[in-house]
Amino acid sequence: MTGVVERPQAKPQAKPQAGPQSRTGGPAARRRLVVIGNGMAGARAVEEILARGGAEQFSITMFGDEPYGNYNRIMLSHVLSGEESDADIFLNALSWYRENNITLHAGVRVDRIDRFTKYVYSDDGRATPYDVLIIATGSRSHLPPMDGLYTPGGSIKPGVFGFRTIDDTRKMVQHAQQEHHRRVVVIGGGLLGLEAAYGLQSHGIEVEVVHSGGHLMSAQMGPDGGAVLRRSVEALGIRVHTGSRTTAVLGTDRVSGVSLRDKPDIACDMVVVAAGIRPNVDVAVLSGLPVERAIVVDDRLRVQDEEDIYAVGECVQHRGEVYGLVAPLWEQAVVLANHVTGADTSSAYLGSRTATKLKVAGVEVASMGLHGPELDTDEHIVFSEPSRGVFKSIVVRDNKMVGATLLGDSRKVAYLTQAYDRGLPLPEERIGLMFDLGTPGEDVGVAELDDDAQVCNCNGVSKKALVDVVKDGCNTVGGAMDATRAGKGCGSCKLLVKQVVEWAADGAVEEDPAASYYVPGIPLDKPSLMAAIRKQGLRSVSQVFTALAPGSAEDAKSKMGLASLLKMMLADQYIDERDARFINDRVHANIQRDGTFSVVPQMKGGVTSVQQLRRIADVAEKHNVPMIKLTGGQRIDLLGIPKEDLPQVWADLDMPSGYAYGKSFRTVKTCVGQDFCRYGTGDSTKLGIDIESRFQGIESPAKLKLAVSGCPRNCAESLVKDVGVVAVEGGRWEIYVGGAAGAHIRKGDLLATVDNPEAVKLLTGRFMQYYRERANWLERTYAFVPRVGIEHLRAVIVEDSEDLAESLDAAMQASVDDYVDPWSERDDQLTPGQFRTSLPLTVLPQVPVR
Amino acid sequence: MITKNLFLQGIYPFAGAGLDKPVPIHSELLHYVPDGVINQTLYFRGGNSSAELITVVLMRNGVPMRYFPIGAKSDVHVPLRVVEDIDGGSVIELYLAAPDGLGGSVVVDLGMVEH
Repeated sequence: MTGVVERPQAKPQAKPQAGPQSRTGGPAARRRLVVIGNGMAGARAVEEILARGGAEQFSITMFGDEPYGNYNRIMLSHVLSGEESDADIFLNALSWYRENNITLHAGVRVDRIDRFTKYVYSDDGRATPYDVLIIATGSRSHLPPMDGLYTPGGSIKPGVFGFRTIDDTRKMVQHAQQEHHRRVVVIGGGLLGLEAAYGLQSHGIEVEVVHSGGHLMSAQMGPDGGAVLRRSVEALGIRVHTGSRTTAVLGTDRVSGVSLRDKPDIACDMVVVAAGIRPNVDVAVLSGLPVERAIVVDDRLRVQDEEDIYAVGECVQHRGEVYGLVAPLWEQAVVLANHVTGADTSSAYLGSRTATKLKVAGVEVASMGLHGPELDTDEHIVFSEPSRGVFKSIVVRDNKMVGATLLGDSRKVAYLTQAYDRGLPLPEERIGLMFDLGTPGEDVGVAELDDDAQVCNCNGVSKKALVDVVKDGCNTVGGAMDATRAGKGCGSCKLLVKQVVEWAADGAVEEDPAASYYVPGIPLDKPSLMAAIRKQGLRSVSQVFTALAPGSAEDAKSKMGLASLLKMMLADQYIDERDARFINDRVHANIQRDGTFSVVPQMKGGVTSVQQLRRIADVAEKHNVPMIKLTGGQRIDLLGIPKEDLPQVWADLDMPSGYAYGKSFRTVKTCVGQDFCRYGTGDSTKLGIDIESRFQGIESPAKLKLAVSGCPRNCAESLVKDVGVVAVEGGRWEIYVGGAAGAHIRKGDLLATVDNPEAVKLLTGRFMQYYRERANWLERTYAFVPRVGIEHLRAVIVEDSEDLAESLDAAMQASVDDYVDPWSERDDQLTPGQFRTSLPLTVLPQVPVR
Repeated sequence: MITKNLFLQGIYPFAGAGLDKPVPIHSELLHYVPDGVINQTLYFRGGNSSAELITVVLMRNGVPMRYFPIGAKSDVHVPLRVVEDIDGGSVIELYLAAPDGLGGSVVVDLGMVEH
């Protein structure tokens, strides 16, 4: 109705609107492009526009509902399972917006568009004018109607989660990691639900999937495929209930279970709703744009009957179709950019034939088109091998493929996708579609792919794009991936990308050398780099760049790693250059999220005194320290110190640094030990203090946290430390290495059992030195120890099988002898402005009140 | 998202039972939404050959969901701008309300998607 009434107004309004543009129209005047939505579609559309010279034509403003830059939503399942950290999935850093002169309003929601005056109104009270508008609001989780989903206050019940945004994912991880949360029910057995189930299972909690359809992934495959998938999923330990509708979430103030229709209730403390997505069309509906299932657009991605408003992505309905995958989005962004910039006004989007190719819960799944025969004349070719989790089904109509489902074996996916996309006639021998029987092998499979066959669905990279990069001289797989972004989405196509690059390079593909570099800017692995530094007598980071970097180019990302390496190798011979350091190392304090620093004085082995406590209290009072916190490493943390106050705080404390900030030896946690504890068998406190005194401030490739426990009760948590020592009966000490209890959990491996504390100190130092010399930059011991192997470490460090012990001990002793407390430089700053605030120093005069 | 288009359509004779008393038009104009599937109705088109106003009623689980009045010897096309999810297990049916004793033919075409 609104469309009918308002449409006649739109036309006369549209013409005068064009006027101001042409009036301001000098060559310098740029039109205003506003993008609502900073997700994968919005940012991709802007990237495509910029690639077509959009920066000269437009001043660009973007609104994002989420308070972040732009990230890869596909990877959220990897974040959930802990395979990636959430920092790794950002596609465009905030610097990208700056570099391209894009104004980004992150965390600002657009409420309404006035399409007649051409303004966008947002919830921060801003009215932003536009000449061209792009709506890319995407979609949100669909919460199907059920009882008890909301609290009486109207918010979602604690313990119930959608799975759509980075915040959803973070909250789920947080909730799942709480000890008393043991069981989760995932509602929805589609792609997203299975990903959520798999990800949550990796946090060690029991997972059950409730799916209302008759079989898993019922939108993508038929019942037979679903049954095979169910077997594979259940083999992972995930319980599956199909044909079960969830009718209510139980529990008053938090989740205690779900109840199902016709089936017994399931008890749980967490519910994840992954029952599909719905387009976000509120803004469009409120603003009177044509919305059916989603915003209706034409083949140019222009909103129906609107001159200057475009829409792209999952919030779009094109020719009756709404897509919930990324591949159509990339195609749409290209067409939209062509029209918006005028680069190719004949370009048209004609819809996408979607094929899903994914690894769902560790099972390879590919699905396209129909999942079963529909007409009597349809041929249906099925191969099923449930014990191996393999299922293949192809639907053929008029000698053309109209659908396929592949589970557990996706080697023929590339060929089948192509056959489906182009409607190629199929070979008479249908079995060749599924297996490589007498048909060309995999390599030829790549050769027979069409140039524009899509290799990477996430980033819309065609075979031709990859081949072109190789022809332009890039002959490493990693290089081709960097250049095209292929394989940088969900990663399921990496094998195919590799095959294509290898095929295109015709055997000339090179091992990706950068993978083994110690730091990215210098093309040498760690042993070669150390050998070159020794041979050429290099003593500072800038000397290393001059001598070893290609074109002597300095690389900011490499500086910190090199500084640490040189300090370790050269001890007092090292020429310290401040610009080579990370901010923490420049000011010897730990930068916090608000730009202030935390100061942690040394407190060896966690033992303190009345004088020390009193002085810390005095300093905290004098400097108005906002927070005083006991750390996990048994020290006192003074948080919220401004940078310029650091020297004064250190001077007032007059204590050495506790090294809470560097890639270095940090602390030794101890238990009470022999003197006071009724169980202690060894003097853990004394040994801990001795170790901390000896190795204070030692640089290493990553931080080192140690502990000494006085008995096997392990009050100091020695088994999960980089080096952990445990006193056992008979005056002996066990030394564990490679433990972790942070982002990763790992029990350390037993390196040796020794008779006296001196031997503990010796082997600890020798292990640390070996790790310092052999580990990759930022490689924690929990990765280093399994990589090298505990047997090898025992042989080298305890039994001295490679005759290295003497040199390791000597190198460590040199580093120990070279110790200087960095806080002592407070009176004598090494660089001008070292402790100057990075914020403007002068307070601007207040505007007088009239 | 793989979607399927569905239609309830045809030309049917009717006999009115009162404008306030909707009755089923034909057994063909009934659709059961399978479990695990979401149905959305997208548009309705209708024509009326009689000389009186009639109303086609879209029913969900026996409860009226939308009314489509069609004038005498007239037609309508209603794109359903506000689209709702209809869950699996629901029954969608078209009824007709016409003045008592009125006879004629009704043309119906209801377009839906399921996914």
